[in-house]
Amino acid sequence: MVILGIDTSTDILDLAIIRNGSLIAGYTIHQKDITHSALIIPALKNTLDIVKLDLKNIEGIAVAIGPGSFTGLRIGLATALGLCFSLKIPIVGVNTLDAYALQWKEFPGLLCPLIKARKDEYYFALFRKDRAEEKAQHHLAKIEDYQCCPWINIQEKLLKYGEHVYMFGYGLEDIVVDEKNETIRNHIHFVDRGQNPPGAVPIASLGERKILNGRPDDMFTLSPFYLHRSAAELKKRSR
Amino acid sequence: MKEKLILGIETSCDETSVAIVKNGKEILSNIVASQINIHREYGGVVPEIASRKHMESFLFILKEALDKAGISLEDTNGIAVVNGPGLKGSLLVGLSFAKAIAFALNKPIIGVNHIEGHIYANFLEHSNLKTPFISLIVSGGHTSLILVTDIGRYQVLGNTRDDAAGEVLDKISNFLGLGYPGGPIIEKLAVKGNQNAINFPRPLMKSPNFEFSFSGLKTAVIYFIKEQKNKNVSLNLDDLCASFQQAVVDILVYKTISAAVKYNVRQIALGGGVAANQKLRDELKEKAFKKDLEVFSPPKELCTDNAGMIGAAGYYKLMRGMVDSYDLEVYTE
Repeated sequence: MVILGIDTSTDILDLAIIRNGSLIAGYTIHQKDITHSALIIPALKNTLDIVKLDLKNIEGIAVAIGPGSFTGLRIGLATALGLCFSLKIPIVGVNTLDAYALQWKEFPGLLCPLIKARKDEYYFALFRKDRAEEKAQHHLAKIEDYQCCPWINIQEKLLKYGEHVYMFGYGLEDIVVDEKNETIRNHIHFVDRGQNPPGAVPIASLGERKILNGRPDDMFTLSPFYLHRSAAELKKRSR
Repeated sequence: MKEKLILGIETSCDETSVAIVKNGKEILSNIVASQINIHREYGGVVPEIASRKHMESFLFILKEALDKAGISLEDTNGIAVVNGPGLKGSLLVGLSFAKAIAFALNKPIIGVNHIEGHIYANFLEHSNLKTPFISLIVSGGHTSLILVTDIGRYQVLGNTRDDAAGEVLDKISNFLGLGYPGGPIIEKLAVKGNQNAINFPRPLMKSPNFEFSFSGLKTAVIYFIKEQKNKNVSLNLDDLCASFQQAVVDILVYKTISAAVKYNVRQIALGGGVAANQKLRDELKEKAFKKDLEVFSPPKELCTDNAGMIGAAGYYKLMRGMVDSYDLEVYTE
């Protein structure tokens, strides 16, 4: 089965084409001055051309639905929906934090994927490798639900577990850690600070599994996972 | 002539719209989902909410447009989409869908300027409108006088320096607590009022260029309302609306006719949401007639934002080979 994975949750545009679970082509660009909108179709076209695939060979699309950049998520999802609706192929929306966590699932401790939201706030969740569900599709148990808060609060939550926490994601280079605090130094580990893992491969893999299990999403109701209401709605509710 | 079907897409502000247009003239379907009831609570369009709503509605609207026209996506000959000016996040939703559909089905993609779309709304109704002509596009976001020299060729003679005409109608309506959008509300009250009751200023009306300015008029109206309140004089809303509307109409009509005379064209085409205002339509026609000029306006339902006009513009551009590539971008102004 040939699946296209799309991740536009951050400033990185990431595309991956997998066949029966293995990567056959990928495309990653991290340039703030090139918009996802201008690049996504030409990038897809080039990638397909290089591996001599036709768009008609794609049997399903998996797309990151967030959390992440609101505009980025909409460009990715609208593109994926436009392709799936036109080609009459299934779509799967994948949570971006789930996809990131899956990439580092072999680490012996808690997995904490983060995505920079705004100012000092980060989207994050906390996962633990779940032995009992090893055979299940995720391999990971979510122990802190998706949320968005300042780093200082996240740090507090992580320390509460008293376990080793492995952190990775987008925008981690801006996190200021209290190096003098021994507990923090011993428990909180950056896996790839500053490296920003793109997510299209794990997204495509998760999508492939869902499609093979006969559980694609409904095109008409699939929406970005914003996590946040719009600023205007929040302001109105607080009145 | 071989039949050409264009899929038109419009998501530049707070209307999600998809249309199927045949040969640039015949609307097979034109579905418009307005978000107006959502934004009304905020007194204007909230960009992030608008983008979210476009995202939620788009496929439903697309399917409805195809079903109503009785065609499938494969039957279309091109995808026309507004890529500016407008709200960035909103434009990006429509453009992303449009490019994906065009790429998937190997159809040409045609980027259409929103104001250009309003001009072409006239071609859906009037077969005797021919270039060159003058077009006045007035809405909540735009006030532009354009010389249309040929299909796809425009010379912008002037824009507004500050508020758009529709914007001042909204703002005054909002200030009076009458609601949003202001145009139709003020028009309704104005019918019962005396347009000569209050003499509001007509800024830049007789200036030698074709630029507009409405913020001075807005300030004068607000000042008048406050002054009456301070004097404890009860406000005659009908007279106020009639006089205010008359000032807006006078400026628009005077400038448009001056432009037609200066550039020696015989036809004028109206467009945009404010073009649905009956007073503007009537006065422009009447004053133009005296100068031997012909005025065209789209039916009222095609004055407000809709994808039918985008499909029409897309057809004429496609016929001239004016197509775009997949790196087409949005622009906000």
